[in-house]
Amino acid sequence: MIEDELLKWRFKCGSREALSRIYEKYLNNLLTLAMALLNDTGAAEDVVHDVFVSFAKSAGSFKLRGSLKSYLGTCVINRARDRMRKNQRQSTRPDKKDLKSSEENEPDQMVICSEESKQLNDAIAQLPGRQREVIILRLKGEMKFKEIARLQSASISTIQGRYRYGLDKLRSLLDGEVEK
Amino acid sequence: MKLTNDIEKTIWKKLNFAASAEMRERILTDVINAQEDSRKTKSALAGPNIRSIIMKSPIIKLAAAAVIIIAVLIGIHPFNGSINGTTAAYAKVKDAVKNVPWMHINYTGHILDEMGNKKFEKDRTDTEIWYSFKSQIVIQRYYSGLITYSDYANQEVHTYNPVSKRIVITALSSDKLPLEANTPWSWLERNIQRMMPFGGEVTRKTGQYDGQEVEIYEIVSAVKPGMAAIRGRIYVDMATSLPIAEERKYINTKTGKPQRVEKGTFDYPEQGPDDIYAIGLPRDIPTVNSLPLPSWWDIKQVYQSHRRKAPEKYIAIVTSELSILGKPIESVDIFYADGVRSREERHHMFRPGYVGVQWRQQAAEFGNTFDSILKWSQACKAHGQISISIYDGNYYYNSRRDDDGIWKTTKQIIEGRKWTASDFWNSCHIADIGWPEIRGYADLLKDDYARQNDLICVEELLKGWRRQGIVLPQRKRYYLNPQRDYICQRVEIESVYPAPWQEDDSWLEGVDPTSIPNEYSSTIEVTEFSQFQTGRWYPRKIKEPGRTKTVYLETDPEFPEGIFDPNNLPK
Repeated sequence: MIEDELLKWRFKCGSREALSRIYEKYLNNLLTLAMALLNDTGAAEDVVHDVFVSFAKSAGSFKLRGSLKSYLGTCVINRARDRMRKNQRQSTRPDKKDLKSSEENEPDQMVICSEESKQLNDAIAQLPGRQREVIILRLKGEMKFKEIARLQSASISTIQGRYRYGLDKLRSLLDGEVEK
Repeated sequence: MKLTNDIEKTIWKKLNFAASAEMRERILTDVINAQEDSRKTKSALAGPNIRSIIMKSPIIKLAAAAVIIIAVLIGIHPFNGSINGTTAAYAKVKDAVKNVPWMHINYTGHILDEMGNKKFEKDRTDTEIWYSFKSQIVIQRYYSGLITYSDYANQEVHTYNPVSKRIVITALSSDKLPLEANTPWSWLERNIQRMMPFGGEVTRKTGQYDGQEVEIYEIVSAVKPGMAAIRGRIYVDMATSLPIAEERKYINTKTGKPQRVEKGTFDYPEQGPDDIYAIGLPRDIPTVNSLPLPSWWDIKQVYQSHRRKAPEKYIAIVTSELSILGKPIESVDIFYADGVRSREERHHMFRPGYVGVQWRQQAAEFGNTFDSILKWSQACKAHGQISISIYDGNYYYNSRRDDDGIWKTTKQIIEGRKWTASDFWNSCHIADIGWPEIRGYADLLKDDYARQNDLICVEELLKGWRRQGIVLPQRKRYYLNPQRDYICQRVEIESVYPAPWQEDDSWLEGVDPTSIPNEYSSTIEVTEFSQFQTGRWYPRKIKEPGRTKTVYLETDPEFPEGIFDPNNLPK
């Protein structure tokens, strides 16, 4: 994608405009990834914040041949994993009640989404971590199975299996809840 | 309200979170600050290698070509030590070129007939060029009226489109002058490197040019089979050591006669144009800011490379379904491709006047799957015309069945040029549907639809013309999807008369006003996408006025036996 190639190059040269454009372009996508992985608005914001700040600082050493979107998506995954590791005691599958209560405490809505998105996200949060990652990276990060396999250090067939099982489980969880 | 089979689509479409304005601002502030901090603590960054980016741009290629002649001049010494006395001249010219504030070049070219006369008065390559190394500006005015003002310091290119009569501002792919050169000398050196593969012989002598005493440098290219030999001359003012003119002749190696002549004249003004308006454009011309997108030239190259990317092996079906009651299929195109071998079929479902009845007869058998359609096609059951063509790598065969259902002895054997998988892909509908040709110069715009859908809007304005009938001026807007391999997701076509971009009505001289067609508008839209196994995107469903096209594609097919055998064509 030539726009991304240009943005990468200009970002590397220190362009603030390029960084802003990258931010505007990918913010919501990364936020969706983070929300799907963490199902926690505050945590998702922290992760996206850290990814972008770290990215902004990396200009001097930044080298990327592949897709910018995949790169940023991978950063979100890694940050989200770190966060989950740090909070081992905290459930990685917060139930609806927890999510609602955390949002009710916030005076302004920090994240905008539809009711359907919330339902989908709650269902996704109930999947095992690896299956959740595969589904989210594939469908929202638009990554290839090959790339996800590399990220999860597994074979492509394993990844495809996780994807299939994850979707089957989601079907059963969502049956009747979300409109097609 | 069930979610069973389409869970992937649902997640893809409906799982979306957006940051609130507050969150957006909060993070952005930190991000920008982080970048600033990082910049302060680090030394200036060296730009990455951008040669490959630069050379993708035709604008820049032209700019580079314009200084090749100077490269020849300066390059004489490094590559041909046999010329005595060039060392001093070389250093002198180098210094002279280095110190000029502006370099202004006028290029003209002519194709010659066998008698050596000009074939046409004007040439498409006629170009006026301004360079300023100091202020990092390159301006080019082309024969067509197109003007580009490239500001390398600010990384912007202002392009004047003579058809739309507006200036579009886009990003330059580089902040350095063409060929990564920040000084004339480094520019020239890069050009010398580019000249090396052409080889050739260089001589130097003194002589006259336009009544002036000059040094003449002559370079004759090495003769290569099938290519014209180039004989170039550069005339250098002996007083200033600056090149004042260049001539280049392309010699037909069979006849020994020149078939094309190009001339360039140089001058070195103290002051150049301050902006794009200073070269003859009125200041009230509409301007569109399309930053940070790169120019249409750059995007077009990527767009075309996606179009050309052909799978080696595939079976593709394109059905065309009419938007009338019963949604009958009107026609089916089937493409089989296996390297250089290919087969193309078109099945018209109806004979005129029997649309509904015939479709009802065929519908069940036709089905709506790849396999059912393929099976149906092999039985040649369409009621209308059928045409089947095969290319076996050497010959092209065609069999055709007429409206009456009779296979006529129209099988043809046409010796054709060697086709490649890429040629075939480009002739098949998928390439046209997904990446329609955008032939003329176009402007990049940012309209609401493009903004809302994160697409690139390309607007092409076409003048009306008369051939057999009258085609009104058209405005075409193409919306390219950079997230989906630049597939043209939507095309809006609007015919307009009178059109602001064609105020001159002389093209309609002598035409009965009542025969001028009405204005119309139409939209073509890709409503569904799909992916190859390799991850590449293609359009799956396309909504056109009055019909919907559906693409079925198999890129790892098992070809039916004898499908590429011309002896198996129906008779």
